Amino acid sequence: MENHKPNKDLFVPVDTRDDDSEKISRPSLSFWKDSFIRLRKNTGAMIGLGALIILILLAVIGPSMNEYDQFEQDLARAKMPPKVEGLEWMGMDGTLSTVQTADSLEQAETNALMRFNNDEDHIETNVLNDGSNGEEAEVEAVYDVYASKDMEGQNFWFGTDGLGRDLWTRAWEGTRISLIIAFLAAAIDVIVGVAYGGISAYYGGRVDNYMQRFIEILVGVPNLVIVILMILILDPGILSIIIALTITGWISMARIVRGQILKLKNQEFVLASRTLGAQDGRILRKHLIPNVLGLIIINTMFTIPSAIFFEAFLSFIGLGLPTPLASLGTLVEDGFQSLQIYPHILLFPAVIISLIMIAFNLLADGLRDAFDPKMRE
Amino acid sequence: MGRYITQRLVYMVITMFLIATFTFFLMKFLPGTPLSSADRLSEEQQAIVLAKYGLDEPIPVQYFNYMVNLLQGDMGVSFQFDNREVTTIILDRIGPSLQLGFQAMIIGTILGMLLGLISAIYHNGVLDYGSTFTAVLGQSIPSFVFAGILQYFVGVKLGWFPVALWGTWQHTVLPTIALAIFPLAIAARFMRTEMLEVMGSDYITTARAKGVNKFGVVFKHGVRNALIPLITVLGPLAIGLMTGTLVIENIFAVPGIGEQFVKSINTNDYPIIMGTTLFFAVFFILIVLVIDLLYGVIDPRIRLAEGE
Repeated sequence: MENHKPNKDLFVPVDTRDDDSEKISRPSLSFWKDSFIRLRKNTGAMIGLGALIILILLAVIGPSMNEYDQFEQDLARAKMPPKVEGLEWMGMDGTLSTVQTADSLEQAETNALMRFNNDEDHIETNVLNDGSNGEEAEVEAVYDVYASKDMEGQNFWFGTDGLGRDLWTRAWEGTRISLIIAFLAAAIDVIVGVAYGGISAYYGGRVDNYMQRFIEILVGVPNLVIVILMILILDPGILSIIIALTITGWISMARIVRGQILKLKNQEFVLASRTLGAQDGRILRKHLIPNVLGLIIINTMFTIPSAIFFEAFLSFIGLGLPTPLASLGTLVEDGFQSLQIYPHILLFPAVIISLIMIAFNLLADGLRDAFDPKMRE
Repeated sequence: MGRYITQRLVYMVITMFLIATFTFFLMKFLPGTPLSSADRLSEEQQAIVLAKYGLDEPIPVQYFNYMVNLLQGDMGVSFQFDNREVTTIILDRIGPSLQLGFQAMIIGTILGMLLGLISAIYHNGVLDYGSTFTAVLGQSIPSFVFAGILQYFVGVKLGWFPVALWGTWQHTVLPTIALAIFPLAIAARFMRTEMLEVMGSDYITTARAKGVNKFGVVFKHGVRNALIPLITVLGPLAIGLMTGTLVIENIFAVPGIGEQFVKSINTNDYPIIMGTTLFFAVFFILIVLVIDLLYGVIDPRIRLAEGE
């Protein structure tokens, strides 16, 4: 290609003015605004945030959305399947169904009816395979539990448990308690961890040395072991679970904060503040810790779901909240008792705890990306 | 390196000593005595029983004896099973737990690494989003929920594998899958980040420029370097598996240590609780130590930094 020389008329000299070069063309963004913009662009994190807001709202108002109490027992209505008006097509129509197979059609039908106490008025049978072609006969039976108990006017949205307690109310009460435990445990971790890490790093020298040796010994103790031993000593309850979770939970926070403050404490802004006569406490609170806040938030967001998991885990192995209190862990544990016949008792608390964990993890991942200065464009 | 190992060993001993001490005093202060029907025994009979178990000695002497016994692997006698030693009970039940743990660890990390690799190779593609989503699910959903899903759908509805109990290899399938989900998710996420970082480095560009094909770049140059940091997550994973076995063994009625532990908690069988706790603690500490040392051996940079 021939080297083509452009016409000089195409170019117009720029009108340079001295004060223009210093002009700010875009509004200045603080670290937090910038992070927030990046967070908002992250679809996963926004879905997580939305889901969390809905779940927390339900945990607050859910229990009062119907007329049942979380402790109200009534064996006459035990193990009712879920029923929601308008959601019958999703299987939440208050019926139980079973498919029975047998050698002959009659036998299969008898089995299907037997499965629901021969309450023939409220059972609809449906022949899936009459066995005429040499295969086994299959009969499906659908049992309208609400009609058989004359409770057609009532709706248990999530069904009821083995003692006839409304699972909707209990599930959201349980969510509330699980969230309270997780938030309190995370808050204590933050306070202790930040104070410990901050003091250790800021004072340095011998203080730092002793404080770090102490942490190294504690880190060697498995979290699982400490939590279980603590629960054995303390009376079971919300408070003892929180104490057990926080007794080693603050260590990772303390290590992160220490690492960051070690980096920051020799910077000029700290020196400037000290020259102006600021006390140690003030420098820590007003200058150092705000600079580590991003990391603290990220770490907390990962602590909360792990606290929720640990609470559920403790309830599961029999060290959780005493009955009749409900937490997501105790509800899941309860559900396993009758998983084969009444899966709905396990289903709802299991779905709620999974949703909470997913939402927190998505949000935490998003926050980590948003606060990461390397991601800044 | 030598100094580092010595330092680590000293910390290990201190930690174990503290845990053992803590456990001993816990035993002393917990409510209840080994004489559960004490009121039916006369004073003399009680004294004989206490003397038999060395409980008539002053606390410091008991503590000393306990420590000496512990060093010899004697962790006392179970309350629930007459005259069965805690050590024997633990040893009897270690097999299924170890088998499940190993199977889950191997299957989980290998599949997870593959998933992470696919993610990294097809970065920002559909496959990447798919496997990242799988990893988030696997990391978030508790293992007992997975266990429930597997039990209900695969075990009860489809009937492919036994719902519970222990015996043939079929019995290990469902608990292994339920346990493997967590290591799978963690390995996948970690592998993805590491691979992306490695694939962006200069020596990969050099290899590409030399004309190495894609397979060679990814496996010979990429994966090998991404694998080194993966060792650091193996420790936390093994510990996560220990927590997992407690729950999974119970759900699937596997006769392992975790199942015995939970049973003992529910029957207040303190010697077994304490023995298992100590066992878990020692196991945990050893795993962390081995992995730290392994890391130092494999990655020369760590060794240099410690050698200063």
